[in-house]
Amino acid sequence: MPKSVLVDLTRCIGCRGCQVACKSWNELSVVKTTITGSFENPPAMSETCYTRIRYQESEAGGKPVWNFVKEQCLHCKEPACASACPVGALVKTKSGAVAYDFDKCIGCRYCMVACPFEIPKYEWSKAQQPWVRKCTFCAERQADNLPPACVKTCPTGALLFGEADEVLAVAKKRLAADKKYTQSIYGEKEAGGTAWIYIADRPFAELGFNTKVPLEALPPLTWSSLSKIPMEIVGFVAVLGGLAWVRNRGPKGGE
Amino acid sequence: MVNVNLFDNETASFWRGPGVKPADVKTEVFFLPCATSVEKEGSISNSGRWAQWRYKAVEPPGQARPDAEIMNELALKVRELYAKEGGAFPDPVLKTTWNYGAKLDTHVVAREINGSWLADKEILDPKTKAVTSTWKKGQLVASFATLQADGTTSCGAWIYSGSYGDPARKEGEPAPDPKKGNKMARRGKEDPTGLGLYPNWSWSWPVNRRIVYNRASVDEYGKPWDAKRALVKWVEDIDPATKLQKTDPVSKKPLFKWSGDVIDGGYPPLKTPDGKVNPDGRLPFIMKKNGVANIFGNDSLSDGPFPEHYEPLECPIQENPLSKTHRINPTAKLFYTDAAKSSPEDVFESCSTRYPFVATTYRVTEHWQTGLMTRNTPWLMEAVPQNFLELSRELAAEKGIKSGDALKVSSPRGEILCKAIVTGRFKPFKVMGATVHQVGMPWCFGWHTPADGSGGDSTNLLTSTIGDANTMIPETKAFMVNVEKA
Repeated sequence: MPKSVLVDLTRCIGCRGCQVACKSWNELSVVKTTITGSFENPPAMSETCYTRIRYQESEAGGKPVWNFVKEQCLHCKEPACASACPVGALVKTKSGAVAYDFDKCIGCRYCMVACPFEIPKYEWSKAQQPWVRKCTFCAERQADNLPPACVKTCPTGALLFGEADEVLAVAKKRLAADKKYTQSIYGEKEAGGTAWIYIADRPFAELGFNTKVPLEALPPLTWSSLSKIPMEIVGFVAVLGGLAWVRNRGPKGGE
Repeated sequence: MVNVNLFDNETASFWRGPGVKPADVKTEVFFLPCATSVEKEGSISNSGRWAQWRYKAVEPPGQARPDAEIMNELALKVRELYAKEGGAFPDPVLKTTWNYGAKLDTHVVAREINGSWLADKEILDPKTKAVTSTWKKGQLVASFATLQADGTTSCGAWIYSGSYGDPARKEGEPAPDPKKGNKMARRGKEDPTGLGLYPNWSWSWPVNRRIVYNRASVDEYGKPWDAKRALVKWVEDIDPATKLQKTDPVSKKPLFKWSGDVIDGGYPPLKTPDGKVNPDGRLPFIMKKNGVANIFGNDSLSDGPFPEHYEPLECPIQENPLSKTHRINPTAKLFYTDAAKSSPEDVFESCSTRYPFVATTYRVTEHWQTGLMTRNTPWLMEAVPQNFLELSRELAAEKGIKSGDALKVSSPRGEILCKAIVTGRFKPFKVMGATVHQVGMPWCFGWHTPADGSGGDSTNLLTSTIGDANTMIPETKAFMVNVEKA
């Protein structure tokens, strides 16, 4: 059964335990940051930041409203990144994670273009063997029957991990039980449905979500554009693939 | 100066801080690296009074050692010197009991805190003079109730008496590992009352009582006020063998007992079942003079018992609107007397045009206290990298300040640099008809870490010096500053 996470934004207090737990579990490095006018840091999702909290300040009736939005890969049910990948480095696993195979990746970065949520990031800072990096849904933790690191650390229950159908049922139940919620579930239909779904007490467009995402699975669309790619580029991809094979064949470890 | 710490910090390195010439500093500084809580064994008491035993997860890095080991070794060395060279008054050093071993054993410390018998002793019933219990020298004290005033018992802290016991020894078997008697290490998950007391998890001071004054939860007959949440209950004392209620051997009256949490003061209910006052009954708040709860604290307070409003040492108004004669708390501890005698850290200027803005301080979730641990954690420094000042949009517009601008914040006691966060979460106040702006800052930064100085300085350089009348807690939540673009 695929797994899912419900992000209840009304329960998030912006503590960023998830952000730090993710970095800790995945042993991600840091970037040098400064205070630029909010608590938000690091400034963007990157190859060293798979999840972060976006701080959004606004006013309603003269009173300040502070919203916290967790960003990470949504793990689409039918991921456009996977269908765009010419070498099958990205695959949707049975557990719901969109997993990445370092050995297959040729660094073409089609996935980054295909993702409607702009999630996959490239290790531009690395001179050798740069890879595409993004949230892994803690697939290795899930394999050990553990929840993702961010879910495990969340102190307020803003993150609920479980069987996809049960998690969706909880989301629907919360919407029905409390009028404070905007009566929609982000990720239920977006891009054909995602493993990570959100509920909130404000319209998602106001919270910085991409609400222009088609409400259908993207891979057929991705494929229709991919099929129009000129043969020269496909050939170039083949060359890259060859290079990647040579690279990956080389000595590993002890470097 | 000896600094025992996890990391080097502003205190240990004061001699090379901003504006300090090391050659002028006469203090010799020793830095002794110590272990973190996960690198040593010991107990930790939470605010619910549970003393919970923690195990060592990993070895401390490098030369770092647990604080207790450092203290033990220092004490042994000091003793050695006193033994060799004598001194003005060596007895307290040489004759004090100090038997934790050359390499300190935390369990020995825990047992000393629990207390033990220094001599054989028989305890007699005060009325009948019959022997109620006998104790052997070296045995651990079972509870504070058996501590003696005649020098036959030793105890580090009476409230922890009973936290460590002697494990039961079976006939003909070798002595069990004494560590098995450590009740703080218990991990039973049973919760018979269903109230979350978990009486077999760790140990709660005193005597494993989970809720103090727990007889306040029952009426005068020992019946819980709330039957669904019975903390303690006066019940028939049933003999487990016969399944019959026990009776008093002399009076033959049926016996009752308290069930549930460890009863606070083992007195029977205030009334007997026939509605008469029980002469043995006692009101539940046994540590209070009148046996009842107090809404206002009235014991030995400098300030109290009733709450009163005073202005902070530094405030934006001339007069306390609620008291013409006392602007600030007259019983608060002031450190500033006059300019000639007081240090520059203690000066203050209230209602001054030079420092027109109310400042407050707070923490951020990412940093703990002064940031010693968290500023050395790159993931947390990435999230909150440097000192900042939050101010309202209105004040920002007035001063031409934008989010992210470098600011100079000054008070009569100092001046620091930080970054601006302009936010709607701060709003100007109307105080006595005038507009007053408030700004807020965390206080977890300092010049030493990060090493490039980008963290800014400690907000504590700005805060005022005054001690709360009852607790001496400093008034760091309200003081006056000026804010300028740096």
